[in-house]
Amino acid sequence: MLVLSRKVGESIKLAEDIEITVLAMDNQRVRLGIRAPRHIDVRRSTPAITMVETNRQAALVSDPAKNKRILTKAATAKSKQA
Amino acid sequence: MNSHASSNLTVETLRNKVIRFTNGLPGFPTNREFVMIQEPKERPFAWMQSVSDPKLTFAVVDAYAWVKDFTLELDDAELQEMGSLDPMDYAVYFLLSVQKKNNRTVLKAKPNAPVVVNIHSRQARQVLVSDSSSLENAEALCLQL
Repeated sequence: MLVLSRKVGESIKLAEDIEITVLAMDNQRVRLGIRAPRHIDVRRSTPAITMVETNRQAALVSDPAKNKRILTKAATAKSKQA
Repeated sequence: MNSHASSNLTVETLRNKVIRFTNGLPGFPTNREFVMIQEPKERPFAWMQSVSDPKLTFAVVDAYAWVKDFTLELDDAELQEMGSLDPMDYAVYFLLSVQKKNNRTVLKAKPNAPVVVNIHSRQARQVLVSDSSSLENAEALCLQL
């Protein structure tokens, strides 16, 4: 990992067209401004990990036929609950 | 996007149709296309099955049916990228985890990261709910079968 120090108002450049500026700082938080072309997908990495985890927890890797009746039962249970 | 609309109709529109995650589905980047499989008696639930790997399947539920008064706030910019600013053009699903416990099946919704689908272009995207306080209890709505 490359580690750089920047002051508020200073920035770093990635390749030709991505610029990350330190906008403000307080104790535990840094505000960053990111200038990048539209096709660059920018997101906070913590939530992205959450999404990945969420999806892995939810994924069923198996023969769908095995789980065939689950949703029918769920629909019945749900309608009774409502 | 703020919508109180029941999206039963929109979900019907997607039945057995292929939706496409243009940015990929986090954690499963090679699976971009999924078919929404639903038998009428399974409503408001459905299966979201990968086209390239049919063994990869997610159980999903219509968010509006699962959470009473469900609303979702999305950036206009995000909606614009998905092709429409009209909330009525979107279906929203929660992924469900399916677990077997003591011979019972427990379904739990994942309300923090719903899948949003433009029902016309069938472009799909998973989004993060920034303020999920109204959804705090949503996961607790688990079904024991």
